[in-house]
Amino acid sequence: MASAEIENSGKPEFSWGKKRGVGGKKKEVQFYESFTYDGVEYALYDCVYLQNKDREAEPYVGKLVKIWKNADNSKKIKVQWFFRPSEISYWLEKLSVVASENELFLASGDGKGLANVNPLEAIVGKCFVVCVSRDDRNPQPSEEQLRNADYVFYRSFDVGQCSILDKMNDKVGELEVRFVFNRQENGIDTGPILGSKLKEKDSRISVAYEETLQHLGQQPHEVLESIKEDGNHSHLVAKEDAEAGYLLSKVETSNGHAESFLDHLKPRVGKRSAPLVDQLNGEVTSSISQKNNSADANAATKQAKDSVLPASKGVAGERLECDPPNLDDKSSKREKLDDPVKLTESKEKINIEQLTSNQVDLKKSSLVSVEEKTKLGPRKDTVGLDKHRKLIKDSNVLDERPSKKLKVQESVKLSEDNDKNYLEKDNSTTSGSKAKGSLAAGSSAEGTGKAMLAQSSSRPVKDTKFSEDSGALGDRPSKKLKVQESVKLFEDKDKNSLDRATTSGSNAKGPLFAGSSTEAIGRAKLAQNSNGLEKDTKFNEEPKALEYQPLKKLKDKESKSVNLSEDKSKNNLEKVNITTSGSNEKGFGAGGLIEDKRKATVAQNSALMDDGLSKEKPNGKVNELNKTIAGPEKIHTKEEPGEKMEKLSKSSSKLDKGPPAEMCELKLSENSNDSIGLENGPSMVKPNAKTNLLVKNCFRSGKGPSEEKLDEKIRPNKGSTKSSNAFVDDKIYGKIFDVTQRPEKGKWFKSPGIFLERMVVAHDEGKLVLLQNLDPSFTSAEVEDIVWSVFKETCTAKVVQGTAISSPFCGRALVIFNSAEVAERVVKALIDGCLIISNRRPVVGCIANLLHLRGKQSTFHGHVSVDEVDENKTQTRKDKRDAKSSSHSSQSNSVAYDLGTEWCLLQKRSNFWWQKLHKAHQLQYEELMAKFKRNLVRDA
Amino acid sequence: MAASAEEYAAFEERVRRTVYMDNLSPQVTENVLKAALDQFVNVVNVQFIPNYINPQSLPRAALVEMETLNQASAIIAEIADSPFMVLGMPRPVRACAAEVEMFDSRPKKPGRKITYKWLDHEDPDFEVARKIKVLTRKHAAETEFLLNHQLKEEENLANQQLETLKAHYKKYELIDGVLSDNTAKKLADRYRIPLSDA
Repeated sequence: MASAEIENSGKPEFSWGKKRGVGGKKKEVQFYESFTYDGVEYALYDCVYLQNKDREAEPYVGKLVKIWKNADNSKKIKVQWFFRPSEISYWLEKLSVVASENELFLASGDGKGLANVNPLEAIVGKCFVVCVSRDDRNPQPSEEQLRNADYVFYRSFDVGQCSILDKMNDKVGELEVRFVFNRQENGIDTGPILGSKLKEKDSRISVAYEETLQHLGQQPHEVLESIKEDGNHSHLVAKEDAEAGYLLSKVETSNGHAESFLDHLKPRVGKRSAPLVDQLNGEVTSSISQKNNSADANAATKQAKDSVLPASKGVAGERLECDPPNLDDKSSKREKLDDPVKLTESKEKINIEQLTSNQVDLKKSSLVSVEEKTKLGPRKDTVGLDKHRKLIKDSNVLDERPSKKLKVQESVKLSEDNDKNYLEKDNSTTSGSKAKGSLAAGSSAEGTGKAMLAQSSSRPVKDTKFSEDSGALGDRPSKKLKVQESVKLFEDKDKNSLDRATTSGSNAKGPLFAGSSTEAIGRAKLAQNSNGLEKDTKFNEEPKALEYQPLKKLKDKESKSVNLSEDKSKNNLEKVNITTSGSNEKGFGAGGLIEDKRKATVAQNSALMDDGLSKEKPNGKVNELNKTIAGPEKIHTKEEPGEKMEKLSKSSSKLDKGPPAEMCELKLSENSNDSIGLENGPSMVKPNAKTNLLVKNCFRSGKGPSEEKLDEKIRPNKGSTKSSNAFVDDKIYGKIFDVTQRPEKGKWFKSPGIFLERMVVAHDEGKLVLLQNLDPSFTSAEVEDIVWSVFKETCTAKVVQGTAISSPFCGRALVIFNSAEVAERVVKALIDGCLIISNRRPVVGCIANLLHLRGKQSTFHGHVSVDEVDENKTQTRKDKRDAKSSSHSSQSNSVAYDLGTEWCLLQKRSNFWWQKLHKAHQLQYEELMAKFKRNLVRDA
Repeated sequence: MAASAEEYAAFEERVRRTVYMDNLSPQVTENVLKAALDQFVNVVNVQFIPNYINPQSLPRAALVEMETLNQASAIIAEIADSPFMVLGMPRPVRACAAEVEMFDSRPKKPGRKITYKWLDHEDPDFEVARKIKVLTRKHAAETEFLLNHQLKEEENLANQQLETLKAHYKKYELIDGVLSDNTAKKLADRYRIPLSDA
């Protein structure tokens, strides 16, 4: 079939290269070292794409190990295969091996699937696969190579034994190992390039593995010890029970809230997330009902919690202080980032043991979870620092952050006069000390989540998730900081400055508030424990209030603070602020945490159900409930700030819609993580991006259809965009890149008939993206190149062909991506960022929504069908019948002519209005472009 | 590079020989169109422009490649001159010169280098770019609106014409009936009007 297509497009040129030798019985087989096919030179041991039987699917990747010509002149190649992680996911999963997205596994060993002989024409194109093995024999790839690489590999998959091999033996399959590694000449100019991201990532992968083992061996003991220590500490810090209390109260409120939340959830969910929501619903409801049943148990556990929580709080605080030294070491090395993850893993195991053993362990487990929290907290710190290159002193970590916070707050103050000055000052003074508490508080949620995870099961997938999350946590805070700074820059601008300042406030505080609002609410609820209804309403109101704040800016903030203070006076506020100020990172971290929590709850729910241990049930349930509740609540509150930023000026209804949808999306993302988890592996960078993206997606889903509001959305986005735009590295902002040609993947993907079919399918699957404002003269191939260069995604693009009524200056293209996820990511990036093509046009992208694709063309107005009238009789009818059989220029003495003239008139009118519209559009457009170009020219 | 420049020149020549036609009924096929135009010119190739994103009720459009440049301009003139109806009446087709952008498989413009960059959020251009993006969307919405408006107009006109035709038809029916059932003759007798050609 490949050859058939090729013939269509003209036979590709072909010529043999260097000869190698002859073989076969009669020496009729001629081997070659290279050949040129379709303008591309291939040599032995090159990696190539081979056509997949399923054209939709990605092409296979293989290494040329033999090239020959048979006696009958047929050209053959023997390829040793590379496996995509997805292709061997079964074994990956079994062996709990994780792989990054662009990692391949070279086939090795002996058996079916190692290599195949194929017709040479099956080659689709050259594939750039880089070996990133740390093996001494492997010439290390250069940074550029890594950047350009389609895929990397360093492990092989033994097809005989179905196992992953981390090391290359002297012979991989039938191939000598020197042909497996990068070619010598490529490697010469390379040294150890630590700066390269890919490298980092991969080194992490490999390093992570080695270290995992060690840590798994060591950590448990440490943890146990620390638990004991913590127990002691806990008494000291018991005073902080207020803070601990909020957690408790949260739990209580959340019971009511969870239900209302559910109500919210259903109607708002997009169709895609609907099933997930249902699932979630089911789980939440079930947990709720459980809770109701075990009301007394609940009360009992509450008390237990009362004691445990303050303790844990204290522990958390203490731990924080203790940890930095450890962190110091860790932060010094990148690879160490993985350590905390491993720690948590090991801890989880402990958790499991404890949980299952007896009830008393419940307490312990909470301690452990606190442990985890603290660990997580510090980890955030380190990562953040790491990113900022401020690594110098670990102990300053906490201090530093508050100070930054302070700056932001001050800037806010400037614009805000001073009503709240005292509050802020309080914040600043207290921030240092309280930050710890808050950090712990924030992380506690995670901790619990993790504990639950551990309970439910210890599948490797989850570990992966943790690592992702931790990565995400690390990522976000640092960027957040940057954002704040940039916000400051904006302040001195125009009227916007105020808004921005507020934004910065909300950026900074948003999460804080969110976090804090929960706290405040929690407290309020404590006070009103008995009155469930009130609580619910309060809770519902507050988040909303929070949402509105950014909209209404400073004033609202104040009013919000009033809100909060209503609940519990400014004490809360202060604490809240402190929480926030101390833990910028935490706030954001929390965003990431949500995922964990949710997973945890879900996992746990099911786990608990299965468990059915009568004794543990009540407690477990309550715990679980707590967590479940904490989950949604947190999500609610925490996400809103993010949302706020995104949507600042969106209508309140939108805002209301937001969270649930987000949640579902989040869930979605989790699920996908679940499934993809294996592939993502411990490579920190990738998962980060993923989570970020997922979060982005959530936001997007919340944003919904109000594209007109884009305007407003983008500004507030600034913060979140930077932190989340996976495609846009900070480095590349403002720089101009060339669009390079994408490696040719075969021409047959482009035949027009197939496209419509594919488009409909893609549309249904959500992978169809409509790009607008392209140069109308772009060709489909150029659009594909652009997408490839910018997003490093392969796609099938089709420029929307111009017609008489299409805009003459704004080109559009339909692009089919490989998955809905990618499509959403691209669209998100285009919405948040600004991609300028050829220094002129910012590209607009949206998921194509082509409802009319369904069904056939319905009607064509203006042709009178002959059946409508009985045609046998009149002259007119006869005319009509004749007309049907032939096409003609109508004569001026017929009825048809008159009618036709009317149509001509309409066509003229239509011409006229289209011209007018396009002219107006062009004017508007050019007016804007004029401003734009000036700047761009200056830039260039 | 030289080759692709040549290729592009050839393509441009092809564009000039091509006529864009729309207001075509969905039943129109390549053969119908060829047959319809063969009375004037030699059609080399017919390509329908797929309608991916507009409402399906939009009439079809096609690119008709003629043998020579003259034929192309001749057919455009002819169709503009008198209503030319293909496979149905009375709505005529419309023709105009084709443009490069209308072609699906077109070679890349030679020598063009595309660049891209992500605008920094602090860049003053970011704001402008954002506005342009919004404007683009707005324009798309306006275009869509106008398109719907046009479809509506077309529908109205079609309905109105159908009414007219029906009225005509009724009239003829009536006359026919009157003639065939001898009513006309009786009336003629009564009023003494000779019905010479009845």
